[in-house]
Amino acid sequence: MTQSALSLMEKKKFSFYHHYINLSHEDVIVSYKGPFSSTIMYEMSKEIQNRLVKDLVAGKKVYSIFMELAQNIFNYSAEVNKFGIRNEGIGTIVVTESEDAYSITAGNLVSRRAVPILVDKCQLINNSDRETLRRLKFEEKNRTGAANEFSKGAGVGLIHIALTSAEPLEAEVAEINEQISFFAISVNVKKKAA
Amino acid sequence: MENIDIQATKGEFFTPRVFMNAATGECELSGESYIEDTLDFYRPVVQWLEQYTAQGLQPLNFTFNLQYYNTSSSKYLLDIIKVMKKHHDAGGPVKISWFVPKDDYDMLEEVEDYVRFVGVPIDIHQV
Repeated sequence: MTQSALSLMEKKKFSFYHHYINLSHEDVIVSYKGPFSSTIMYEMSKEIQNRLVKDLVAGKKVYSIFMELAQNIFNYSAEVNKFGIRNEGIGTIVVTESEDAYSITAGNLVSRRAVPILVDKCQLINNSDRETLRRLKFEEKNRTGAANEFSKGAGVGLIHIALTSAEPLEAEVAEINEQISFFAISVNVKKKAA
Repeated sequence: MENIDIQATKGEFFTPRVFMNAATGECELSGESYIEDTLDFYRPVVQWLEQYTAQGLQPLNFTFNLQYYNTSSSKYLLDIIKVMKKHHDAGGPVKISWFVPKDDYDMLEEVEDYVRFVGVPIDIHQV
């Protein structure tokens, strides 16, 4: 599915003011919507590293989660930019900072058939304790071949994100049409206790 | 057998330094691992180890010194460890050292899980 799927999307009036206000409840570290080229991903990841040097433990976690979510969009978004021979996934990612935590939220278009797989995976992860997740992560890495038709990485990324954040994954799904849905995932990383 | 000697690269992607000595069995993987084509990068490394260990029970000393690796890379790190586990079980002298950045408790936990779930000894150093 490519950009043609997007033309089926209902064109709603976009208010830049509301977008701005939505992002103003917390301090924004990076916010982006567009093609996830390796250049853009690199620049955002450097910005995160630079801004989080004051809290290295949380900083490494936010960086690692950002990298996995950005790579998911780059590799798996159902919306792609044809750029030469390479397809760049299109999506959105926002990293914010509040008083006691960082928040990383990423969203992109996915095949509607992938939604139950993703939602089940998030539920399984949220219902598992840390020891179960550690074992599950190992088993998924140890598996040969793709986990399902939508993931060559066998879903290690989501388990890694959950273990790294040590907080539940929040998923949001919006149906767009019969083929395409929007899927977003949000996760927090606690700051070090002051 | 020939050595593998690849310098680290840093750009939009990061590839680690790889040095694998066919004469002594000293191997090192260091730097950061976030690679455009992960399979392409790690396949020769795993194949080298399979070839090396097929020659007999020669010593194998592998040092991991990675500041960051993504989950795609970690699948191949596990493949490397599994070849060494096989060599270890066959009676080959195997030593694995893993340097973990001191602020990275998640990496520490992951390396501890290689010890637990693969069943191979790893000397873990927090640096």
